[in-house]
Amino acid sequence: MSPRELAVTALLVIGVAVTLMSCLGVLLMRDPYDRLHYTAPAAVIPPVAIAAAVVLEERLSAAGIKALLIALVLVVTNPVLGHATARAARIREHGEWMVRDEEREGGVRQ
Amino acid sequence: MNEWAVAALALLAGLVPCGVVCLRGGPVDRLIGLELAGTVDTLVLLLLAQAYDRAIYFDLALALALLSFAGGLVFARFLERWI
Repeated sequence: MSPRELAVTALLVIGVAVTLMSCLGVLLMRDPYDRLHYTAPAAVIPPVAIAAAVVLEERLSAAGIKALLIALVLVVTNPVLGHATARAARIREHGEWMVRDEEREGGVRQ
Repeated sequence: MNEWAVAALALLAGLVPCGVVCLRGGPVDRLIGLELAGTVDTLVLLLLAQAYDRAIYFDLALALALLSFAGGLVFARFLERWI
């Protein structure tokens, strides 16, 4: 087994393991806010690891560039989606998005 | 069956917890399960494209990544107001 094949296999194992643990984390948490934390590793580490494996295998051919592009899309869009989902959860819970006066007193803003 | 197909098959197991989350809990929990399932599906398509060694199949994963993002935003916006 050449070093390159070893690196490809290791990257694939990392990607699959992180995704499966992330799915388990989402399953086991109780709160939507807690669950949201576990979607982040699945959208950052595995795409980068798998795209790196594809690039190692195919070099920067059409397949390698597309894999990098997919990883970039996942890494960029997941925080936006997480923010939108957390915002929706908060609005459903408290009814409004703006910070109220009684919440502001204990916070950093005065 | 090469290593890419094996990895794709292993990732499919991750869809089971996503499905269970989609079946239980409140609407926001279900949305989070759907979003994670979209990410896992994108990775599965990415691995299958490499397993079949066709560069054109990567476009499918790219389209799913973009569409699941747009769909998640629409669902989040919808859950803010109506259900």
